[in-house]
Amino acid sequence: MVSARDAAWLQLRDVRVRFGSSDAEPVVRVDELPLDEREFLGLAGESGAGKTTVGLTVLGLTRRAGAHVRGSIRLAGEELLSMPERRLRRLRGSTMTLIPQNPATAFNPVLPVGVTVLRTLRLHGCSRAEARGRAAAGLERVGLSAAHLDRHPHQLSGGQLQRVAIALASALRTRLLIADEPTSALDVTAQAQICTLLTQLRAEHGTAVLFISHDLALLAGLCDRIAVLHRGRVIEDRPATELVTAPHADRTRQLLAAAPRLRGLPVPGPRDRRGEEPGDENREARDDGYDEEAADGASGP
Amino acid sequence: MRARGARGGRTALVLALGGAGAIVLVALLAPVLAPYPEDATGAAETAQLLRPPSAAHWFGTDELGRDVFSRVLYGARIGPVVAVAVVTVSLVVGTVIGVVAGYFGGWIDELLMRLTDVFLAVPALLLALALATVLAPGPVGLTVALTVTWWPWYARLVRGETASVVGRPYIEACRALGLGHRRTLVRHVLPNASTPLLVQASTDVGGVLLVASGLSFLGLGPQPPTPDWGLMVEQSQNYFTTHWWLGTFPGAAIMLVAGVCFLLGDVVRDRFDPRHVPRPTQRA
Amino acid sequence: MKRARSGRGRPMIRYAARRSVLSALVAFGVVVLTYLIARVVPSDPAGVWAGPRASAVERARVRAELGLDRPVAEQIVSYLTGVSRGDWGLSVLTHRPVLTDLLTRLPNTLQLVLAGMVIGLAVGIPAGLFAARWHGGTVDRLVRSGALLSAAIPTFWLALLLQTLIASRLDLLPIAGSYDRAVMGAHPVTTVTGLPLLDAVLTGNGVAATDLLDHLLLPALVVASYPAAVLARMVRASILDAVGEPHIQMVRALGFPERVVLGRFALRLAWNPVLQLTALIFGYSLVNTFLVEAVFDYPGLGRYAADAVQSLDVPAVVGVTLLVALLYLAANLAVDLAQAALDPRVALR
Repeated sequence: MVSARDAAWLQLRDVRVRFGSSDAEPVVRVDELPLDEREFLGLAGESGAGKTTVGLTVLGLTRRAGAHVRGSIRLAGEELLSMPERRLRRLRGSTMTLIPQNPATAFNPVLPVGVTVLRTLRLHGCSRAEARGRAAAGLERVGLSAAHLDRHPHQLSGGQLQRVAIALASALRTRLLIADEPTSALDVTAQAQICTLLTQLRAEHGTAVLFISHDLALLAGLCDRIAVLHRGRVIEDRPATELVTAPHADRTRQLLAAAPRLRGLPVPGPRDRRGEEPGDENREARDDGYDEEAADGASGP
Repeated sequence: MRARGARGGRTALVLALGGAGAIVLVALLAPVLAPYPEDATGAAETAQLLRPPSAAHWFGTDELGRDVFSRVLYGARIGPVVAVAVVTVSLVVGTVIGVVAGYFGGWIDELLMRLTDVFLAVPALLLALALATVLAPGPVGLTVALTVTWWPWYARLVRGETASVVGRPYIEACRALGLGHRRTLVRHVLPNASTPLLVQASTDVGGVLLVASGLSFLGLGPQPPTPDWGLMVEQSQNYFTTHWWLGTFPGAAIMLVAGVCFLLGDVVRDRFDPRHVPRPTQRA
Repeated sequence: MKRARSGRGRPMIRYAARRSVLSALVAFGVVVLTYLIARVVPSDPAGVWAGPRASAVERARVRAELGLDRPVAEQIVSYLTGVSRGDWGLSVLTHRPVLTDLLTRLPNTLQLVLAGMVIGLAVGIPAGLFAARWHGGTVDRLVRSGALLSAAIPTFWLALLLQTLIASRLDLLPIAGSYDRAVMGAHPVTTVTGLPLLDAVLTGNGVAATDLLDHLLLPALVVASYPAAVLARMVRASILDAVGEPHIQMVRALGFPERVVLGRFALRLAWNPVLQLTALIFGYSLVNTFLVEAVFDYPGLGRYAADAVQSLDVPAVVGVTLLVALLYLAANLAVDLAQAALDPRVALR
């Protein structure tokens, strides 16, 4: 059911991620997961399915958390899993980065956000002036201004902070974004804004996005393709429209049933309602959808 | 985080508990264990002055010919006992004041907490030093002086815990059900505050021992010929260069007991609150 | 940008004002407390005040002089006005005003405490950082056991050991005192700040500076032992706590090397607790010098206090208590304000 694309820009093959010992039951067993440039790939699944772990593994951040990773992850033909940390580190930020789940906690609480932004740009080779300029341009693109650089995280709203994160990715010209439930902590308006900005980013830099969410409705409105993860396995990976209209797997159907906006409604086309889409319905039934188990393992040292 | 020192934790636990047990045993059994029990307080033996450590006198003999090993063993009945007494009494006083402040809130809270602020504004060793100067020197005066300086720490700790518990729904429910203040406090508030309190207390026994020994060293504690460790170090000062064993062993005993107490505090904390980040608390 | 600043400024000012008023209240309380220690706790305050060798006539005179026959409230008021006017009583031992005695000895002690704290910070913070960086490993285990030991070691004993070993046996550093009389006679130090070593350095008096430093080194090392230990523990724990936070994950994802992730981003979170701890350590070290100075015969507040204690010179002991408590309060206030400046969330609480 998975269409093999050997030449994909990002290609995960036979990836196994284990926590604890190297013979433990793998938390992630992805046989194949391709992602092309400019492509939006939705990664769906319930809590604990391993979504976050997949994302962090691509970034090379699970190994630090004591995970054992096997298999192959190739980005533009280069193998990431065997890459020395030093080189991998240089790819982080410049080529791929994370759009955090909860922007309110994703910025150092005692530093103005600008410190993180400017330091990151300087880290990736910008001069002081260049960093300032790029940061300002990036912030304007997301509807903020350079003045926001002086604010501390607690002085900005979640939506604003997430826009800062996107502005930073844009200033870095990042090619691959791992967006880990980037809208789940935001209100409806901010969610829509973030989704719009991500698509704009693709238009400008050809950015590809691995969009992690348990919310199929959101993914259906935004992504080209959706892969459904269940207990670490990809159980279904198809074009978004197809997947939500005619799901193959039972789990997918269950996920669809849990997304109230899709129940009995005509399924939206992939891109025609991205801006205002996740709006009007009641959303309080929704949990945070954070892969608690996986994230816990991945975040502790 | 989860894996943090799992193996090291086991070793630390064994060390801490074993050490604490050994210290208690030594204190209890000093008369049995000491080779020369009569040397603890007096019994000058002019034939045995300032002998270096040997098979007969493991830690040597002092300037009065007394067996240092026996005196160090007896010392476990003084400093550590003072420390435990200070912590226990402070714990009781501090808990009462803290619970009252946290439970009733309002002006009572304000008054009691400003009072503790005043006491906390004077470093413990200093306040104890001033008090010990005006009180009669000796273990009792020392205990009183240290208790006066130590209770505010517990008062503040308990007050914080109590105030945070009092806000919770089940305490509101107790109040609404008309349970008496005392019952609510004893049954529901105190148990919640007890864990951090115990952690702090086990660490503090070590801290108080260090301060008490310091005061002894300054001559404000037990008087000669009491075999108090701090006092023994003080009396060894004049002989230290030539007769190292006089001061070295009592000092090492203080360090050993304080170290075991700190380790015990760490171990207890890891058990009950593995994600704990130490907040600045004063040791002395 | 302007708006953001002023929006941050107002709670800051309100916070500073509130903290200052509270500190003043506590300072008042401390004065009352020292009064109680001096005149109420002892069974025979006049006798204690006059000194152990005073005659009955003298005691009666002191009783009248101290106003012990007047109502307590009146006594407190007159004590307070005396203290605020700089009348801290006469030392029984030196027969000079206590405040004058204290102020002549304060610079030496401050110099010792500051040197100890600088060493403590310079050793403790990197040690904590390294322990966190390789936590669970050998470095971590070494730092943790080292911290445990140096927190548990009795100050006066460590002082004696170092004095015997390094000064006496190996003859590497002077045994006692704060300077060599001959050196100071040949190269007198001009007073600038009042801290002898700093003055010698500032005036380019190399010979005197070396001599002062030689005398300061061992006592300062002993004073540094506890600060280094608690700072290492605190920094390690703060960093390990921060490491699980999403914002640390985030800066890793942005490509920062681990050295920067911990040393800049995670350590930055430890600044506040470290600052708070520094105030505590300052107070603790100030008193710890009492023991250190007694061993090294270092002419500071501690020696003065130890002598005063030995001769039961209550005015002097109470004076030291009051002075150190006020210094400690001031340090705490300064730290509170610095904290609010470093982390604007503090002022909002």
